[in-house]
Amino acid sequence: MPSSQPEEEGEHVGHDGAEAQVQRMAVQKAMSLLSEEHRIVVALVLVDGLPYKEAAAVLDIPMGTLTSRLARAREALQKLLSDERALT
Amino acid sequence: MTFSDDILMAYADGELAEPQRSQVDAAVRADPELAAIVERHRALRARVFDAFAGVLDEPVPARLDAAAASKVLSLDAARNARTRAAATPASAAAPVRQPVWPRWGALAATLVLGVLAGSLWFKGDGSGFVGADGSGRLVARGQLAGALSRQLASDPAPNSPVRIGVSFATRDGGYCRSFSVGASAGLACRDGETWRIPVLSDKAASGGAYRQAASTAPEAVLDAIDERIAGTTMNAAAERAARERGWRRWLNQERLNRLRQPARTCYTIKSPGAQCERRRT
Repeated sequence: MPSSQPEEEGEHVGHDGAEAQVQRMAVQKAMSLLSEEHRIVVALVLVDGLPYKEAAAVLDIPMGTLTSRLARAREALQKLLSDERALT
Repeated sequence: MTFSDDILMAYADGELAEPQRSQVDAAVRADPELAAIVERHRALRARVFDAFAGVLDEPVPARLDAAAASKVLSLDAARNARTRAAATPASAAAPVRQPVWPRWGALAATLVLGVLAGSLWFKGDGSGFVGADGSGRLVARGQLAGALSRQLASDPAPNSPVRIGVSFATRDGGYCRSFSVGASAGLACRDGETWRIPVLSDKAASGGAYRQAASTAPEAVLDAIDERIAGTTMNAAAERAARERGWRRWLNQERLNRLRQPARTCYTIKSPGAQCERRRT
C-alpha cells in the first residue's frame, strides 16, 4: 500500500503565486546581508524612492559619493542575488 | 563616447540632466550592450521595490468585516466607512478604495476628544496620550509622542506601553506611523514638531496580519494608511534613517551637522565591497 503523500504546505499566496513570494524573500534576505551603509542607500533610493539629491542631503554626502555608493550597493546586491546559495 | 556604470545607473534612474541625458539616450539606442546594462539597473530597482512593496498588496480578509467590529473614534474613518458602504450596497466583499479623504478639521478632533474625555487617552491635565493642538487637532502627547519619535517597529521597547506597527513615507512628503496602545490603535503623522493623529480606533480582535506587526490594525487604520502611503512600508534601515533626521524628509542644519561627524569615516572607500569601518559608536 503506497504511503500517502506528506501533506502539502499549500498556502495560497495569491495570483502572482509562490514563485513571486520566493523572489521577494530572496531580495529581502539579500538586503539583510548588505552592509548598513549600502542597505540604507538602497532603501532610500530604491525603496523610498528619494531622488539622488534628497538622499545625498539625508546622508549629508556629496552627490558624487551618493552615486558611487549606490552603484556599489547595487553591485553587491546583484552579486548576492545571483549567488543563490547565499540566500538559502 | 563611453559612459561609466555610475552614469548609466543614474540614467536608468532618470537622474541625468541635459545634455548628458540625450547623449546617453543616443548611445543606449545605438548599443545593445549599454541598453542591457540600463535594463539591468531598472530590473533590479523594480525587484527591490517589489520585494518591499508586496507586503501591502496582500489581501487581508479581516479588513472586510473589521469596520463593523471596531468602534471607530475618528470622524474621518467613520465618514470613510460610510462612503464605502454607499459605494458597495450589495456586500462588503469588494471594498472600494475611495480617493476622497475628507479634511480633518478642528471639529472632528473636538468630537474625538469628547469621546475620549475621561479615558486614559485624554486627560484634561495633559498627562494622557493625546491632546489637542492650537487649532484643535488631535496630537500625540507624553509617552505616545516619545514612542512615535524614538521607537522602531523592528525593535519594540519592552517597557513602553506603545507598540509601533508600520512606518511609511506619505504622498505629500511626510511620514506616518501606525501604533497601538492597549486595545486601541491609530495612525500618527509627523507635522512639524508634533505627531498628528488622523485616526484612532479600537483594535479589532481579528487574525489578519498586517506585515510582520505582532498586533492587528483595525480597518479604519488600514484605510488611513492606504489613503496616504507612497510606495511601501519602511524597512528597519529606512526607519532608522528617518528617525535620525527627526521624521523629516529634509534634515535641518543642526541635524546635518550632528550626522556629519560619524559618517565621514566611510567616505573614502576605494574598492567595491569594502566595508565601512566604524570608528566609534
